[in-house]
Amino acid sequence: MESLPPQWGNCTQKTKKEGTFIMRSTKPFRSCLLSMLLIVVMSWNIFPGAARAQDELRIATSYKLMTLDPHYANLNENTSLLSHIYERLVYQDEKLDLKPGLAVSWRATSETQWQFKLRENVRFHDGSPFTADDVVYTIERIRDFVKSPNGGFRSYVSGIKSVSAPDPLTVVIETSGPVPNLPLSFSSIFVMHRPGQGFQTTQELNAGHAPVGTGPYRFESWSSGEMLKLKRNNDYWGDKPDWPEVTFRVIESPAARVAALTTGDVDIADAIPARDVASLKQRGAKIASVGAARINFIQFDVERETLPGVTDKSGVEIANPFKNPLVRRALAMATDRGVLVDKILAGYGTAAAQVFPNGLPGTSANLTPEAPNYEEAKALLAEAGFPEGFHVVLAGPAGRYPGDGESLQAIAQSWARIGVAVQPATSPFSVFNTRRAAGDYALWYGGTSGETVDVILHALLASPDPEGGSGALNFGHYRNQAFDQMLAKAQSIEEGLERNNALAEATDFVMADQPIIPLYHFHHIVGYGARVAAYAMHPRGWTTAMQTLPVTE
Amino acid sequence: MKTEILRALKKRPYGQVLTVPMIVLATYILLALAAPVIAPQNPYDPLQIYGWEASSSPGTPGSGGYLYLLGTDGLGRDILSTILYGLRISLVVSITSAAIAALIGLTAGVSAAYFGSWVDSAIMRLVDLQLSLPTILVALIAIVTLGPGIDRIILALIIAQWATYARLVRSVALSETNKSYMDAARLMRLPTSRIIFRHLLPNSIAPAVTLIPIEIGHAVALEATLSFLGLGVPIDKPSLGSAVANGFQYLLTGQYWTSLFPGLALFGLIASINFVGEDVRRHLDPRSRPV
Repeated sequence: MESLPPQWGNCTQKTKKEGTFIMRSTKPFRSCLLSMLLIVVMSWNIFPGAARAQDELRIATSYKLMTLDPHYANLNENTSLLSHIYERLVYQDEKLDLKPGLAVSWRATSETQWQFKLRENVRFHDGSPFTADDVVYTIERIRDFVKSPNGGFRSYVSGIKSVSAPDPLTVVIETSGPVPNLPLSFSSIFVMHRPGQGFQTTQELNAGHAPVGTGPYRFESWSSGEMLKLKRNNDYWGDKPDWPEVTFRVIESPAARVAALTTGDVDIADAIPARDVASLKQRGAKIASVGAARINFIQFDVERETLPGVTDKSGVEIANPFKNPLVRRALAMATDRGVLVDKILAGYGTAAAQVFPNGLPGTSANLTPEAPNYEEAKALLAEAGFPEGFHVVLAGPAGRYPGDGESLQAIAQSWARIGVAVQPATSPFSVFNTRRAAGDYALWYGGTSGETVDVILHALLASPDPEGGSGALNFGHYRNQAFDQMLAKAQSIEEGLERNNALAEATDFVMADQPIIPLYHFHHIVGYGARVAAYAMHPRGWTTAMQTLPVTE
Repeated sequence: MKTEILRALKKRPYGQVLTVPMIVLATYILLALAAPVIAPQNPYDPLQIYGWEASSSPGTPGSGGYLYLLGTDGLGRDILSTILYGLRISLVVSITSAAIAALIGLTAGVSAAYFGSWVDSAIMRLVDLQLSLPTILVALIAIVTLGPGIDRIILALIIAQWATYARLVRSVALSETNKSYMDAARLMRLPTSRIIFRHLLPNSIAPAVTLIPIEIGHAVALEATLSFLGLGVPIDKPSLGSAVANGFQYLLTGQYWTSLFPGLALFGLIASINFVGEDVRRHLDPRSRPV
């Protein structure tokens, strides 16, 4: 997740508890009586608080919560945990379809006007009722007040001209132009409560008062980047939340998360490395996984005349070879995604040919990942004028995405077979991000997620335009006017089959030009222990207590 | 003292002191020299690596027509070949850096002792400053400021190690400066450089020489540590330390071989260097010389 919005999470999705848990105690009673007694006595003495832990859900998460302001930064790091406290008008379910949240229904009353009907009898954690005025406050706070370093959520409300509340349960939104996917934007925006007057600042939220939302869990305490404690909201409007208490511990090292789960220190650990899955299963932990609605890819700089680190075999600088679509195509053809997915991701990944896993709305059925074809790739390269190949530095972050550093080396192995010598260069993500923005790289490994196909296409492949907000992640400065028009046309169509087909067509068109090489969609992997009966995965990859079903007696 | 070194070497011909650590160390050096010839795979050449054979267990036959005797790592590199090539990096880095650090340290230490006054204070305060910081910290700071790369590691190790030599040599040279042969040299108005390099240095060098093998051992360990932390060699050219680091994340998964074998090789290398260094020290140290 780089800077594209995280959006969905099925906070209100309440699956029925399925079946009953079968106790697996088969050992003869007498043989373990003594040890049980001992354990009970010892734990009684040493851990007087152990009894309390019965009701507490303990989660080890890689998401580093840095702020309690839900409108500050649009990063999974923040939104995943804050989704317990705050809610949204609209949700995306596991198939990325929109479902009612705080709004029960919505409709376009004209081309530029939308009407949202709000849920009745919803109360904030401080007891005050949820009304249309709170939605107005939320939109105004994002649009007019919060200063976010990377734009935050502002792009979701930039098309809104005015917002009004004709009655406490109705919100009317006027947009400057047609915005057919406005409801989708609201699947990203957490609704806050309007204070007496003015706006709450980020500092106020981080410092003192408990954040007030409508969510299933209420805020208890936190420590920035370390932990978050939550308590059940007993007045929640939906199904009663399962866990009386929830504690998130931020553990950034994957090995430490795995260890915490194996020793039973936590009930859930997210972002499990695929290589650890087999041994975790052996030790009795359970694993849930889902293909992530995201893409990891190789991106080319196609704008500049010469590129840093791109030379011929004797080290002489050459003209930017990636301007030629044949070269891009050849490199894509010589990429062995099978090794990436089967070996590096240990099967917990799907080879990619477009921005979302095939089958999700807006994807093209014509694009499927191809096996590498080195002969044809070499021929294409020769046709493009590089029969001997060339030398490139392939940059990438280390430890940001599953398999990132290893992928660079596996790609170097593949491309060596068509004469392209790759020098992989990894750096910590913050360094990588800065240097990429500064133009230090010729081609690089990147990752992006988004709510829908068009959000990713818009950010990654549309011509960069800071004013209009398109191409925010198009660091390669790829420009294709015909594609821009196709995408704009698709985005102006209402949600539905016609829009999805138009998006698929635009995807077909742009991928034929190979501005990026899609590599894989990695899977989110969550491990859970004995006190959890099931964990419902969501393509978005948030880690929440709402997805966690407790074992019932 | 120069004569003492020679005498010690003559008194102890190699036949007599050929110990197990020496044989092991000699084998290591031979293996490192012969690596391109004897290694089944060049782990730095992507064309010779087969990604599909990643994480093969020891003894699996590979596409290159040879057995993966010690298995392959997560990217398909033959562990045995990685060890052989990694050995080269470890030895080159440690020997070069120890030699250069000794040279700088000796010169600085002798100069401090000979000139005294402010030169002495300046050099020795710098030495104090450096020795008060942990070696790994000094090396880390150096790598972070200089950037990664094999030449930078050598530089970082030199920066981290010269002070030890300087302090040792200064103390010996201080006692030498007061001896009568030094007075004689000064009275003959020999040029300063001649006094330092022809008279003072050779007579103060013995303890520093004993330090070199031990410091080489430290350098191997330090390079491995830096590479293990991801601050050393490039990711596609693993040294012993980074090979251990690559396998480290697989330790819990049952793929013991990716980390274990490079780790054992590293252990054997450092141990044999230390034992040999200890031997050398014992034979050169006048106090421990057998009567």
